[in-house]
Amino acid sequence: MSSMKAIKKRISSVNSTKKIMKAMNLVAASKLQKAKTRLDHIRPMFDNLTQVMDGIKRGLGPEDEIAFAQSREVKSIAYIILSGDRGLCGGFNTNVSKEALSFIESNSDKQEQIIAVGTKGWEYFKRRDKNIIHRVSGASEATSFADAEILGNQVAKMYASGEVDEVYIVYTHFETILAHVPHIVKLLPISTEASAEQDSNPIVMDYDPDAKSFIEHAVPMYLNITIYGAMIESAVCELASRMTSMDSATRNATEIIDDLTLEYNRKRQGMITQEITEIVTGANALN
Amino acid sequence: MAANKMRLRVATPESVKLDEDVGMVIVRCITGDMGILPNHAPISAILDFGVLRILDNDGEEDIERRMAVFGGIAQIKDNVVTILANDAQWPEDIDIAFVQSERERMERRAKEDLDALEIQRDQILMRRTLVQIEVSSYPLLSKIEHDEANINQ
Repeated sequence: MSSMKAIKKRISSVNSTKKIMKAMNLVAASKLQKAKTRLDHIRPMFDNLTQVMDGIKRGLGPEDEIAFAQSREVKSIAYIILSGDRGLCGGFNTNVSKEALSFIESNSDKQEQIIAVGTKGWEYFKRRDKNIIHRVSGASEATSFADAEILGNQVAKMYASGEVDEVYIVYTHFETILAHVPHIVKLLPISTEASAEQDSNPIVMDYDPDAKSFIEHAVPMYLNITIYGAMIESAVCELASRMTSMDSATRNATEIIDDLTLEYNRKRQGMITQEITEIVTGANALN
Repeated sequence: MAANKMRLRVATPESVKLDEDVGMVIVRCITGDMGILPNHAPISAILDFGVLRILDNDGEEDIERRMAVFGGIAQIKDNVVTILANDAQWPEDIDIAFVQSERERMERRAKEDLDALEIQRDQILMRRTLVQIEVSSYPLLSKIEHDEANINQ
């Protein structure tokens, strides 16, 4: 008798959990739509800017003394790590944090300075006693260009003052709803190495007012846009990840409920059978 | 693409504002206005706050559109003008009443005693509102000019 009651209790508790997960799935799905439009809007700007930067890199000679392009002896590296603020989104937070951790550990001879965007990433590196210099939360829920600008200015300043010698950003790249790949991108210094598929005759480009001021203007913009783009990619991945994991959780819950219901019915039937047997034996005894 | 056309792309972090073939572009750079015709030599320029003028001809009459652009960079290459702006607005996206009130607020604040950072911020906002006012008053202005021309005739 008590076990039947327990099963009933479990069914109702799984049922209410299922309802929550179903709701989270729907919320994530509708937010994902919005976030994806933003991603579609930022990507052309990002691609164009990357092209401009590629052009700059190719046209840049060693005689141009551009602060942002000079590589120096690396003693300290800043990492911007983008994760989510909340869990229940599958492996999203762990994947990006793990990727970042293994990268940081491969550079363990250098001092690390972590800028953790997202509470989950912050917790992850806090537990591992990493040097976190800055923490941003709330950015994955409502990504704004201003947030990216603040971060961009901060790392540019840190780089210019010599506080850090390299800046990397670790984020999750959105490929499809099911495929999210953690990416590590070097932000500073902008590499001036000629890319593999270099044109045989590079385009002669004029600059207004001159190359140096153009680059000094374009690089901070590139930083901000890259960080903003990465933030949006991350946000989209988080939502997609939450949507799919909540969807499978809902399905698992349905399965559990089915199993439990079957068990409950079996027990109930068993009890009825037992009662009938008792009555019949009782009646037989009287005869 | 017609021979006397070039591609103009205006992108901001929020969206792609424009992507089409146009006849002529006048853009405000930090060194002054730059007029761009098709087949311009490759050039990269820093943009100032200012009005982007897009001139076109639909075969009968000249059409001019204007857009407020708030800083960024422009690059011309292979007959494509790419404008990457920090922010850009079409006149119809500007809430002129709000902009006017902002401008008045800035003018009042200019008389107050503020620290350097605030003054700098106010100046940027002020320049922004001035560009917004200029852009959104354009269709009106051209209409007045047009009417005046009719009266003079």
